[in-house]
Amino acid sequence: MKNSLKIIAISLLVSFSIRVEAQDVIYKSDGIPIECTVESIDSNTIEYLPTKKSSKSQSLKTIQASFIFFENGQYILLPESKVNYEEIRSSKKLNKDIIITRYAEILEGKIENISKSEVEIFISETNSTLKVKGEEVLLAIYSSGKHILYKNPTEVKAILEYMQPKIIALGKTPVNSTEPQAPVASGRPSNLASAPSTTTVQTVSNPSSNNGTELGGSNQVSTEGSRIENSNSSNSNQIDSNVNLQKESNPQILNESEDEFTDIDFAEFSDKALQKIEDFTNFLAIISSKETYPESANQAIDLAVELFVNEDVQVEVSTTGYSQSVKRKIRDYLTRLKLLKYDKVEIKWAEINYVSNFRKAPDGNYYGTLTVMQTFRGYKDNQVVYSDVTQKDVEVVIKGMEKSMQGQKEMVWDVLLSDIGVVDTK
Amino acid sequence: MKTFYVLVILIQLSIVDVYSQALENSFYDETWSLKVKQIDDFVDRFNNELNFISNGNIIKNKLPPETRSKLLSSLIYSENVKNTELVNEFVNLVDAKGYYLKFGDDDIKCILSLASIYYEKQFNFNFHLKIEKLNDGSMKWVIVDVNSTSYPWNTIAQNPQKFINPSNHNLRFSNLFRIINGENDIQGIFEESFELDNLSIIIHEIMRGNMAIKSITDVNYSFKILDKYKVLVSYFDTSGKQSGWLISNIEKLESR
Repeated sequence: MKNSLKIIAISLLVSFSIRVEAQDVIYKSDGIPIECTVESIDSNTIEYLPTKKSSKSQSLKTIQASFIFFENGQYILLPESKVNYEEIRSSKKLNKDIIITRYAEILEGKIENISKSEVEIFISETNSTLKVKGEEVLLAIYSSGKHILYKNPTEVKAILEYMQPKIIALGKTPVNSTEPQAPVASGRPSNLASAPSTTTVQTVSNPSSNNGTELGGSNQVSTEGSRIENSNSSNSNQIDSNVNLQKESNPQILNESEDEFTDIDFAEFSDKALQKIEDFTNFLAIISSKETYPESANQAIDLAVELFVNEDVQVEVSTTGYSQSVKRKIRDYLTRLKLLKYDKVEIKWAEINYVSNFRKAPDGNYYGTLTVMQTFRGYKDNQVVYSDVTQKDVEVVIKGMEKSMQGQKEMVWDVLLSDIGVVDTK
Repeated sequence: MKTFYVLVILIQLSIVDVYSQALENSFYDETWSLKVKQIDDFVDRFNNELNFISNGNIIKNKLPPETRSKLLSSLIYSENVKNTELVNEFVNLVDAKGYYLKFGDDDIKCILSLASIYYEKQFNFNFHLKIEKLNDGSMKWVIVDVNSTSYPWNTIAQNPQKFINPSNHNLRFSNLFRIINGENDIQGIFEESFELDNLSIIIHEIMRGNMAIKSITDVNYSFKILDKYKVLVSYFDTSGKQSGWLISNIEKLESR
């Protein structure tokens, strides 16, 4: 009976978001939250005063707890916290509301609307409102300290662990900082993080009747050119003057597009593909870090695998000096990576990379390839003990699914990763 | 050539300026930036476009006509193709004719070198692939031919001692029983010009589970351009400014 109640409780946690006003909340290792005021924590025990039911202090073994959220919006992970409890407890509240996505992104701003299915957050720096689908949100933390979990606490823990230094830093940022703050995205360019396409699921009309089957051909030129201008018009002019781009032809090329997948759609899908690879890179850092709890690493592996088309996706690893490459299924590859333990992992991308056009295949999906150069550095005792520079060729699939919406069939498209070729170059 | 690279670097550096302040998690590598990273990148550059991702943004640059010959020349690997007269002729003709590649429509073939295991022994061969466009506009790579220097099966050679005699039809081809079932020596019972279809044999052996791919040892692409040139594009992993997918050979086709 007790187990049944626990299962029901956990099911409820999974099914519904947990909304907690600004107070301390202990999340037990089985996912059950306890709303309370934490009185003390030592290596073995948490003393707390429950908010409801009883006014008497109670205790819980630290090994029975997963993490604690404090009324200031900060948190510690248990059973072995890597940060000082007193410091975290006395930290300032966050200056802004934040949303943490399942892809280890932090979006900073003012949460305007929040529901189970969608969160709207206003980003003052870009003067725009981002809509984030509920399924992509892990957690929202208000500047008041209130927090809302969108996923099972055990699922959230891996990301919380990875994001903690950034969350702590956000609590320390001066409120009236004159420096413009772009939304923080872990390992991802802030300009990309602020783009709506990174956090919304793209839906477009069915491209099956598409005359053009290759996306991103020369008719893309003008759109991408305008993107540069939007990002920074003065620099865009500098680029134009340097290479004498055919400015006049751009609007004509844009109008000539006959694809149902418009130029903008293609750009958004490409953005989303880039985002997924960045997300994958973030998970690699989590999985291979010694700081990550084993259970968190396993959760990170599960989340990373979800970025791919299926579990049969292969990662090819070839190493300089070895003529034979090795192909491993994605989960096997990640599980082996978990065994590499560094104090700190640093992954950087080259400034300049390449994405091919997307082409329609007989299964109706669109296929393209991203080629990126990446440096990986593993640290132990602040020393680089391993580093490599690799070229990663990542197959990207724009996969279509027919869904019925209000009685009408509509194609919904998602971007997923597929096979990866890795070549050591240095 | 040098001017071209300066131009490319200028493009790239100016973009780096735009984003570098907002981006800590990246680095600039000139060799990598210049590298022709995919065969699609080769096609882009052949068509006078410089497309790339800069810090998460897709940048597509269609360059002015006057840069085309320089961009084309940069795609020819100078260590391999040393006939400057042929190079100039090729570049000038492509530029003058305004010839552009279109993936899927052009005569592009891939020559894939494989090492396979056939009855526990290594068998090396090349598959020839081309892009096939289907009625719904989708496309796929398909295998169209195979070649090898050493097939692990006997070739057919005429044997003057083994044949179906010209009168044997009157005996309802009784010779066949002796040749096929008895001696298992079928050479000489086919027409003079007959050649084994090695691709069919390989397909059959793969379907029977007798052959497995061990590794892909090399990939090259063959482009037929203007019906005048056959160009081979190969991958060069060098640390120099010319690296990636580059033209490794230009063959002038005989005019018909």
